[in-house]
Amino acid sequence: MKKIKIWDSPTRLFHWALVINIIAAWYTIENRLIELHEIAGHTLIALLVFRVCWGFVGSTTARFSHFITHPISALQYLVKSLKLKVHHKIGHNPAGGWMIVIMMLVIGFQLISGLLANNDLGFSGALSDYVSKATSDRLTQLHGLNFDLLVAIIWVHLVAVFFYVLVKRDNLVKAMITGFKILERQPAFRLRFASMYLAVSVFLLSAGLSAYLYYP
Amino acid sequence: MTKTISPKGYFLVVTGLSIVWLVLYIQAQPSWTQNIKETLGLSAPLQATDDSFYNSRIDPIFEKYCTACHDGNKDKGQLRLDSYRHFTFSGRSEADLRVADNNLLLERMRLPETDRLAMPPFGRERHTESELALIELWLSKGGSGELTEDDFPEAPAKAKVIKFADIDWQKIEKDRAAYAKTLKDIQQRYPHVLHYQARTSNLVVIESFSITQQLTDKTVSEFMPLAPVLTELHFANSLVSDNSIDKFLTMPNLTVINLSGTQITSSRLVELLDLENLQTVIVSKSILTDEIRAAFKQRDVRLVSVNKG
Repeated sequence: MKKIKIWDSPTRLFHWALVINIIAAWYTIENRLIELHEIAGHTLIALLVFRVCWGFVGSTTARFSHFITHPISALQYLVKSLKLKVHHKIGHNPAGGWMIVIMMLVIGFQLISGLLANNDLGFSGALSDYVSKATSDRLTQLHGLNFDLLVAIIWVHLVAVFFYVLVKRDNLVKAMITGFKILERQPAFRLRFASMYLAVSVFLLSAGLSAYLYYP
Repeated sequence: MTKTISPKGYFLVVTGLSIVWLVLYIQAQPSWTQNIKETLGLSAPLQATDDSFYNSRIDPIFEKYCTACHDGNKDKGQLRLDSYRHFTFSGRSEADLRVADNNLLLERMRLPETDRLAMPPFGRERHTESELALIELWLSKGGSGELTEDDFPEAPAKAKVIKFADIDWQKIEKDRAAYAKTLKDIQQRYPHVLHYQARTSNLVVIESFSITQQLTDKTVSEFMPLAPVLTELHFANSLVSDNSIDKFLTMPNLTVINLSGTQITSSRLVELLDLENLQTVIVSKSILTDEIRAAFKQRDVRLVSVNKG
């Protein structure tokens, strides 16, 4: 049995920062703390932009090229996985990879609709002046509806994660915290981890874009 | 060490949790459950009756202050106040808004207008204390959609709303067109004497103050091309005589005529009663007799007598 590093620090930090900020965004809007909700939203923009960039220049397991497979292959993996006939151990599995893509698209829509939304009480999203009031109102509604969709996707994500934890005895949660997994043997391919300097640079660029939108 | 469970057992638990989650979600959508009940015939349609206190007194308040943000287009906080049905569904709080005690709607409406949670929000037109009291009164009797005004005798009387009919400017313009040129010609001859009764009327009024001593039966003849549209004739102290009576009788829209101080006598005055739309006649007191007064009274035409014209 070998302790192998699977997830780099930037990906793990991104994941938990995403969790915290989604909860913060929900809590702030539920309590009419719109200014804080906006900050949570802009933080999520920085995180999402970072993750998209990291999907191209980051470590092996963070790259889209590593976890996006043909949809049919992903479906076949899902069926086999549910029958415990296959176990993907390094990085996102083929079905999980598509879940990541879908989640990023849904969060992306949530962020864009938030940027174009208004609350009729003096608050307008950073880009809401670029659309008509009617469009902004419509997107505000969709912003609320899309959150329900996001919650449903998060539920499916949790179901899948705990399927691994409880049924397959593969603690994905722990791996996403520590970055390591205990594997029977070394992976067949070499895992490359991008430098922290690169991660910080990419995040600063992402945060800069988000801040630019926040302070136009 | 995490204890392994079978996929079947795991998905049984997940299905159970999903069902619980789904039920909670549906329960948080009272409109769904009500629609389902109505579709299955388990509940009567939920709506206020036409003559309900809600429709006559409460709904207009919500309409005025709330529905800009709480209707089908924008159900802020998932709360709609554009109908009794939606009012009963409450909002995201899931509080029963029909219960007066600790009523969230009232609590928010009672907050100081600058409070972060105040409704309507700061900057918006705000309800009056009497309107809030009316909502409180309605809720104190159960927030019903069936109780009528008779069930709320203590409620202050409803303010009367005066509504003006829409003005059809095109029709007025069209009605005026037939006599516009004739009117203009006569106005040039007699400035400041003829004018329209109102901006919304095609009927004409003649005020003879500036030509009193020149106004004779012959002058009246000059006005006759306008006879169908003349509605008021103010000929006090002019030289008009009984000879003009026949001309007056060709004015179907005549409603007011002032003949005080003129040469009109009592002999033909009652003939004016043949005018269908006549409402008021002003004459010198000296020419009136009991028979004339009785005739006007019988016809319900107001007869005003003056000592001097």
